[in-house]
Parts: sequence; structure tokens; C-alpha cells
Amino acid sequence: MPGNNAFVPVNLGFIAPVEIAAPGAQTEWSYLLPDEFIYRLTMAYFFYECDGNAANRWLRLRFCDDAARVRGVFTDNKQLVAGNTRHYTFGIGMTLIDSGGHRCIPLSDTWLPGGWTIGSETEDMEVGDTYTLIALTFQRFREQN
Amino acid sequence: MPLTGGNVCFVPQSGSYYRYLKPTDPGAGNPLTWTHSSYDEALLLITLYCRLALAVTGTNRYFRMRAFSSSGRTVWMHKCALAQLDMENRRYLWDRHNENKNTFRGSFLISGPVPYLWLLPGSSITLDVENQGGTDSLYQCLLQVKSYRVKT
Repeated sequence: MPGNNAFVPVNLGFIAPVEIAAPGAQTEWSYLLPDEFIYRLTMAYFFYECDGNAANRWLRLRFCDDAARVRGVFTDNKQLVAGNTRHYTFGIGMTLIDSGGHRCIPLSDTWLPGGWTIGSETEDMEVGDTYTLIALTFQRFREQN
Repeated sequence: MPLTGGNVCFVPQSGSYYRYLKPTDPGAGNPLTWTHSSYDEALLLITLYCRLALAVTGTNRYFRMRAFSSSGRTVWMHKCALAQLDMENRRYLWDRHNENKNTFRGSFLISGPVPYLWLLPGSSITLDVENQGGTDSLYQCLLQVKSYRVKT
């Protein structure tokens, strides 16, 4: 279990975009990482569309362990309001951008064991707000003591 | 254990190398589409360069790059932030790690960001222009990629 034992990560290769089905209005999305491996998140991309209700939305990328305990959150530092739409890219090596309907956000090195879950966490998500076009990419590793 | 969701994992082999790909110019008024059809290699996008020539001014265009997986779903999209155009000719460059920039060297060169964008066989990239005029043209497109042999 990462965090308890030292281990040598053996790179098993990259995973092309993991495509996640759009979850429907006012619904968060999540992805359960398959067991047995360790994953390094390299990119998370999604499109968020706000309905017409007045509210300040804050979007976050969250990961939880296999007991559903929150282990980390990447938080956007700019709110969305009624009618806003944004393409979000969290990526390793990216610089912070907010222009042209895009939010590009740096992603720190994030290692996630199999059995953990990565997904969205949206503050003040309104009834007609939607996530679509969700894609994740990873490097996959095996633990070797 | 196989991965779920129809995802593909591949191992980057030693001997990976950089190379350039040149999609065919699409002709005036058309989007530019390039499909990765080589069945035994995965490509990591490094840069994408293209020129856009506008035939008329006065209409606001938005220059857009999209990446599609082999199943046809959008896995990444970026509109050039400074592309509300009324200029006649611009050069575009999407590049890893760069933020949006606007450098004037005879014509504009605009850099956008590129994430870790992996292209497997069957995936594709499309460049198009919202509000494209009938005689606007995309041309001189060039992709720099790092090629890896696929081993699933």
C-alpha cells in the first residue's frame, strides 16, 4: 500500500484517454481506478456548462481512497456563474490560463493506487449544470518492494 | 487484470523518436482533419503548427483544435484565446507548457497549451474555424510528435 512501504515504481506504460460518460445534469462524475496498479495522473479534461441560476460555482478535482475518504483536492481559484461555460484542463506542466473559455490548471505529481477514485466536487452545482467531454490520462506503474 | 472502460494501455519502447507529420491542406472553406492510421505506434503530441488565411475581414472567427479518440469522442479541445479574428493571416502554434501568447513577427504567432495528449491508432485531430468564411484557408499544418511502438 503506497504510503506505508517504500517501493520501486515500475513503469508499465501510458494509458490513452480514459473516456467517462457524461453523468447528466447536476451530477458529479467519478472514475474508479482498477486494482493492482498505481497510477500517475497526467491530465484531466472536461467541459462544464452552467445553467441560468445565479450562484457561484467552484470546481474541484478530488481523489478518495478505497474507504471513500478524501485524500486530496485540486481547487480552481476562479468561480463560474450563471451562463458560464469552460473547458477545463488539469495537466502536469501546464500554466494557469483563464481565457477564451478555457481554464488550464497546473497538476502536481499525483499518485493514485488502484481502488481509489478520482472525480469532480462542485460547490453550488445548480440543477441544470452539466459535465461533459470528460477524459483522463495516466501512467501506470507496478509496485516492487 | 484488464483495464475497464475499453481503455488501452501501451508500453513506450526504447528507441522512441520524434518526427513530423504533414496533413494535406484541406482547401478553402474546409476544416483540416488528420487521422492516425498507423496501427502499431502511439504518438505523443509535442507541437502543432498551422496557418490560417482569412479572405475577408469583419467577421469574428474562432480557431479551434480538437482531439478525438478512436471511438470518436472528444478527449481534448482548445479554442485560441486571441482568435476573435479580423486579421488576414496568422500563424498558430500549440505547444506543451506554453501559456497563450501573442508575438508579432510579421504576422501573429499564437501559442496555446497542449496537455499530455496521446494519439493511438484511429484517433484524430481536427482544426476548424467557427464562422469560417467560404474562402478562408487552413494550410501548412505540421504536427511534431514523439512516436512509440505499441505493445499492449
